[in-house]
Amino acid sequence: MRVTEGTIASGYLFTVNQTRERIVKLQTQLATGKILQKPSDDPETADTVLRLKESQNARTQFQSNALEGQGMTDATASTLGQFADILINLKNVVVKAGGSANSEDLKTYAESVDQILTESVDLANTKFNGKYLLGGTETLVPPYTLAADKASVAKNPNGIDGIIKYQVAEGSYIQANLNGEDALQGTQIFNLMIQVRDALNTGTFTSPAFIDSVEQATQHVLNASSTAASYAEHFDAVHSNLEEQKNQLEQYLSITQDTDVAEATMKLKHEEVMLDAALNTGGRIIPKSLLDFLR
Amino acid sequence: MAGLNSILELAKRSLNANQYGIGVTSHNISNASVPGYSRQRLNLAASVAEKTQFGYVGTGVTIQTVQRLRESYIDQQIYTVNANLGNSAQRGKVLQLAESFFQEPSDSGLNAMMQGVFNAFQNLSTHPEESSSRNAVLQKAAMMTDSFHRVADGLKSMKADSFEEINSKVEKINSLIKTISDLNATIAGASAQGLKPNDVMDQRDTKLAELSKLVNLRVTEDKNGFVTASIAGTTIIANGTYTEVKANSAGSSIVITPANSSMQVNVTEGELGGLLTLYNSTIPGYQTKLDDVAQSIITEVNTVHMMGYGLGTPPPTGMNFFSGTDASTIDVDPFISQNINTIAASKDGSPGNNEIATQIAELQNKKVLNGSSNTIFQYYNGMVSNLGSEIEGLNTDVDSHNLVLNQLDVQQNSVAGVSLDEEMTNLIKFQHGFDASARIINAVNEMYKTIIDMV
Repeated sequence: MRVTEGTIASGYLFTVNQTRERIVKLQTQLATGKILQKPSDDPETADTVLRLKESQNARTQFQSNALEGQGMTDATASTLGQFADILINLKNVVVKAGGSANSEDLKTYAESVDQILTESVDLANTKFNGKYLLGGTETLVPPYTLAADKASVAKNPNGIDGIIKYQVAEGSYIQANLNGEDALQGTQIFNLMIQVRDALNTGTFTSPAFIDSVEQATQHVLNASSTAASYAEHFDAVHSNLEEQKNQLEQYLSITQDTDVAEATMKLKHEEVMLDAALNTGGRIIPKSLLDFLR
Repeated sequence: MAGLNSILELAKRSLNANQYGIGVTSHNISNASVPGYSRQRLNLAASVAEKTQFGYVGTGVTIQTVQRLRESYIDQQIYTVNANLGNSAQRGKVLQLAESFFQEPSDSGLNAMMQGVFNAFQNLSTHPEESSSRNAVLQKAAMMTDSFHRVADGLKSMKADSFEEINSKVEKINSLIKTISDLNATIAGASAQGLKPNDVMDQRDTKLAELSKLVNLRVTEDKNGFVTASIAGTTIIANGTYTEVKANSAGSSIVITPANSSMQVNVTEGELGGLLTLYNSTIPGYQTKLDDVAQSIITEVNTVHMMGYGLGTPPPTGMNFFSGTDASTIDVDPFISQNINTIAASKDGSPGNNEIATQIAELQNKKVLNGSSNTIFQYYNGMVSNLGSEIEGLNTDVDSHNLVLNQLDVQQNSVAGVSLDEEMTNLIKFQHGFDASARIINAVNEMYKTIIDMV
């Protein structure tokens, strides 16, 4: 084939340009640490990266949900634990009152029970993070109201039986509250306290029947407390599980999108050698001409 | 018989031929780096010999033609590759711009923004009573709608720019058509006198190559060097006349027709072909897909949101969360942005109920697009990776077309390119030829002298 100066020059430029293009690509990969900067660098990988990031993002959000849920249910469990303690106090009072016939003493016990009632209503209206824990979904209104004359306890007329669930995985929910109906049997326990107090005040008090009722109530609240605790544990377990999943995703994401520095450096070195060779030969061959040898 | 006079005449012609040779050589050397220049060769032949009693005696040299060396077959190939390259390169260039609008994969892309909204609803589900989580929903939604607007505006202006670009390409095409036709006429005129205007033909071929980058061009050349050219089957240059083309809006698309007829010229290749594909199908395709995504978010979120309750006595209900119908018009409903308590998280009106917030967050996993086979994210990611594949494919096309073009250039260059070594050798050859011819004249001169001195 006839080879002219033009052929050599354009062929030389073409190859040098191609080498430089590859060098730029490798250099960007090394500088950014990512093998793809835009989808067209590698559309399939880009799709994978987007999906992995979504999964990771969703898990981070679920983790945050689980953490919130754990806080709520832990607080509920401990509130109910305290409530059970109060009921144990009540039982002590009821037992003691059963051994006494003195109406003065009974009045004192009645006052204790009255105290217990106020205390327990306050406890049942515990707030956590600005929400009434036992109010169901009516989180902004105290679930229980003690009448001014303390003759009755009323629940929020909108109902306190709402259930709140937090999402912890796609399609998977964990209950994040125990409402007043489930935990305290509505107003039943408070009514029991009122009955005890009134019986003590009026002298119609008979210990054994009340002891049974109080014990049943205590057991119920303790059960509720452990239910709440088990929800909290569930949230906790999910949280650690999500953490693990996130770590795995992180690893996978890194394998997918991060530059293998060693490999890229090797390739870059190779391209550098190619470029050197091209420039060197080009520099030697292109200027050569017959003119060099004519006088 | 070879008399002294005829030898003198022969030497003069030889001198002349070598001088022409040096002329052609220096013309080649001076144009060596002119793009599109084809090297020229002085064709010489021995002149008709004189019959003598001893046989035929040569009468020297005659100049036949100055020939232009160029392979028109390779040119035709180059036109075809040029058109393919122009198409791929043009589309690749524009789509890369589109790709940059999407900013994927990154934390500022639309994907991340949409996730931001769904996450904000998740957050709201754990704090439906709090204004901070409601504010977050509003902020994230506003960020997302901004991103939608940004991408939609980008695509829209891209389409408008393509329109401008189409018009300017058509103008360029018409000016090239006219120039080529004019050059063609010059060539025809010269050819009629039996002469080939080599440099004019080079100019015309350069213009044809330029035109081939813009459209799918077909060129045929007759024996006089006169070309007939057609774009996508429609003849535009023939027999000394030419037809310009024009771009016509037909509905939302653009079609190319000859200036004097309404018959469509189906330009599929070249930069103009690329632009037409972009304007008529590619860009509208991505616009539709983006609108699909925005529209599903609007309808799906609104349908659920409408059933829910906000905060207040009585709790507000039956409200849309988003207003608008597509990617350019999607916005947070003004009622919502004016009063964050109208954001519905609750299903029954109680402030702690989070079912609506959760349901909205769950919409990200609902298969609502592509005939209920894709989630919003799958559809969107599919669109982005589709765009990526398209660009990747076009880049590969550009690379391979460039490779072929380079190869064709090398081939054409091996015929038409000027080799300085060769020209220098020719120069020496002609120079020595000139010197030798002069020497003959000198010899004849001395011979005359000898004869005259004898008298």
